[in-house]
Amino acid sequence: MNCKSVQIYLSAYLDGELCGQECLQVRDHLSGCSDCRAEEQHLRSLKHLLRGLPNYRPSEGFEDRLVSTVMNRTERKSIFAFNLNWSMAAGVAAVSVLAAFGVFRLTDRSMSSAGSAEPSARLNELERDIYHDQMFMAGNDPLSSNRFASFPTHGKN
Amino acid sequence: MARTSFLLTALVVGAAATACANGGKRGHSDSSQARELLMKILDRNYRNNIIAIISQRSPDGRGSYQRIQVQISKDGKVRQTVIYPLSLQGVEKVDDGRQSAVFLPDEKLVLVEESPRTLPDDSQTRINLTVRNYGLSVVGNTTIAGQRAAIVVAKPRHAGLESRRYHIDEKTGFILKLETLDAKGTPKLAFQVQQVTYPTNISSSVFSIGLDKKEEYSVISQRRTGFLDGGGKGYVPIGFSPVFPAELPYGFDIQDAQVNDNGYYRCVAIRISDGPIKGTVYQYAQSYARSLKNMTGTSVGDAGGIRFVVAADVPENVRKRILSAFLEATKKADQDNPGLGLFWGEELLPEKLSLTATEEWTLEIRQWSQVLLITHQ
Repeated sequence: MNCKSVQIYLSAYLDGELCGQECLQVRDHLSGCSDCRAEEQHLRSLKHLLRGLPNYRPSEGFEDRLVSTVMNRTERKSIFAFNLNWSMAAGVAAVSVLAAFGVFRLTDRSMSSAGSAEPSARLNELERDIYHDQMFMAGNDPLSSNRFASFPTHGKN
Repeated sequence: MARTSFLLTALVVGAAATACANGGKRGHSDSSQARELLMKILDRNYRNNIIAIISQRSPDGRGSYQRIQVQISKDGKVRQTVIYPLSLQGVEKVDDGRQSAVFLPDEKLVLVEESPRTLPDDSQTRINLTVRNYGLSVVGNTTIAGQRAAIVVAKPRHAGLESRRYHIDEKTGFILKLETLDAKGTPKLAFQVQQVTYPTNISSSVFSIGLDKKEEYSVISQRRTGFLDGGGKGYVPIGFSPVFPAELPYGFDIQDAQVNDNGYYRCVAIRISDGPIKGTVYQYAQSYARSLKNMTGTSVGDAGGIRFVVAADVPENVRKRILSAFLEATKKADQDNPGLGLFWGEELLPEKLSLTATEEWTLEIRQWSQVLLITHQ
């Protein structure tokens, strides 16, 4: 078993979920690989800390409120589902696509004529750059109220 | 009867005056103790290994909290692993003191850049700014995650800013809890340690970035900036002349400036601080960043062909006043030298990028560097 496979199995290994042979293979690898052993210790300490966290009890009547909210939403959704006419839906979809295409062309033309179009992907990237830089600076600042915060990731907002 | 009342009143007033005097003296020593505790936090020579689970307010402004495991070595190396929310679970940041890498398992991406610890140590400057702009006091003790913590309050001397309440582990100088308090004294939690241990050893491989073991990941390298030290006199071919106001409100000072030589979004990032708070004022050529709107925690404004983005963890009206200082300074500079910002804005449109930047962009290397592109006059 190599490092890559061991890291896949590591969590299950610590939880005692592996069968005997897999368990032995992981153990064998760990005995000879200091990097994976460090990863195992890291994961073990994480699991240990998580076990120590307090349990939260939901407030009184939480389950009833949750069930009733879900049921209400399901009922509202079912009204639309019942009245759905497939040919009408196809027609609406076709008109929507045409309208969206028309809006896109209009928008595209107006932006091009302004000579300043910035694709939204680039704009998002600019925003992400700012967030990233902010988190970078905060991570190095022990007094920052965002010191440990994680940031919107590459491609996610 | 009247005389007795007068004597009693005099006694009470005298006692109150004595108490105030003692309180004042105690306040003074509290202030130095608070300053020492803050200095301990800023001290880069960490004295302890730390493993903690922290609940941290999410920076998206929605009021949700992230749960993060943090491991810090005695010499300041850091590994952070997001446990919650699920959308970020498994995101890791490893800082080995030389480089910092963010691992994004869903995207199979690693973002690598210089470690922020390579930035200059500004702890003494920040303490000096804190003492200038805030009243410091130790207001008591408490226990957090099993550790005894001193409660230090930094109260701003400028109305409009928030107070900050630090709960500091007296033995290690690690902040166990941080809250901000508005003018009414309502606390808002920034982060709180839920579990913490100070182990004698943490394996050095925990802080190893180990890119060779992440074969399936794509690596994006980002090289960060150097520093501008010309106080606005430097020639920076980024599309405009950056603006440095002579004075900022709320006791903020300009610390330094960095140039982002990103192929598409060249900007100057001006770092400002009032002591406890660090912020950044990004300056872009307006033609590049025309559509940029306000993001959470930022204020945006334009002047002289430059788009300004103020990012700082302060109330919005404070950010806006900082922004105004930059806008006013730009207008003044424009009156002295009309059209300068616009000229440079036209000079470097994206299609006229330097060959170096274009080549590196195609290699998917986003570069933060000013070394080759700045000459100081």
